[in-house]
Amino acid sequence: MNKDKIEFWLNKKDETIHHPSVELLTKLKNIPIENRAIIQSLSPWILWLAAASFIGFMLFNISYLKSNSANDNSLDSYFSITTTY
Amino acid sequence: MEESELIYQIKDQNPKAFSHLVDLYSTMVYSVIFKMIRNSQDSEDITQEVFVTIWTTMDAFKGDSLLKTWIYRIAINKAHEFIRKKNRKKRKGFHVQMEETSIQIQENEPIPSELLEFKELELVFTQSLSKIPENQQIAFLLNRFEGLSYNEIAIEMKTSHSAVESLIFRAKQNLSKLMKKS
Repeated sequence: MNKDKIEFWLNKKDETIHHPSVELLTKLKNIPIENRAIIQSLSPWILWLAAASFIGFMLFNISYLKSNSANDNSLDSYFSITTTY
Repeated sequence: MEESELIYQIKDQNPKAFSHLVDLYSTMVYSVIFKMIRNSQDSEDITQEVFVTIWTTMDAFKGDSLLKTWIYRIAINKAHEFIRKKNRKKRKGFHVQMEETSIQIQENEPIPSELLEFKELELVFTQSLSKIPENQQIAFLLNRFEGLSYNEIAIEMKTSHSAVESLIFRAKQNLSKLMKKS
């Protein structure tokens, strides 16, 4: 590219203002509402509740296994997989 | 509403504050993107991406620059990202350029060869712009697109008048080198 053209582009001012459409403005203003809907669907409370339920379930299982193994010294009764020949 | 209050409200997830932000900056964002991309549909999509980014990452704004400069930076980055993706699909990009050109020919009836050359130069310029450091780009574009004086840019970028002078000087040097190569 020659020097004159480069100079033209480096010094060319373009202060025209381009306006967004009304539809776009409406979409932009709805961003928080749409994002909130997404966030609400993945609410941290739901995640916490799921995590707490899982931990509770595991703790219950462990305590059950411990008490069971203390009583009959076997895990078979818990799993009910003993086979009688 | 003051800028600090506006930022606080948006960080607090207030949709009304965000709506106010849209009123304040949507034209600036759309306009700068349109000047870099020259396609209204793509500019609208990118403007939307910019505002989603603002909404989701406002916590990351630490106030190192003015809010307007931070938004300007996001807009320029998104526009460059788009240009890079478009360049990867060169053939498709060429068709888009041709379509836009033909629309302008019908509306304003300029000489086609001159118009094509203008479009090509504009593309070279935009591509070169995406390769220079971010601060140089912002200072250069604020001067060129927004018509801000060096003092006004210094306030926007929270820097000194001489630093802005230096940024724009280096931007022009780098752009000149890159444009000569192409």
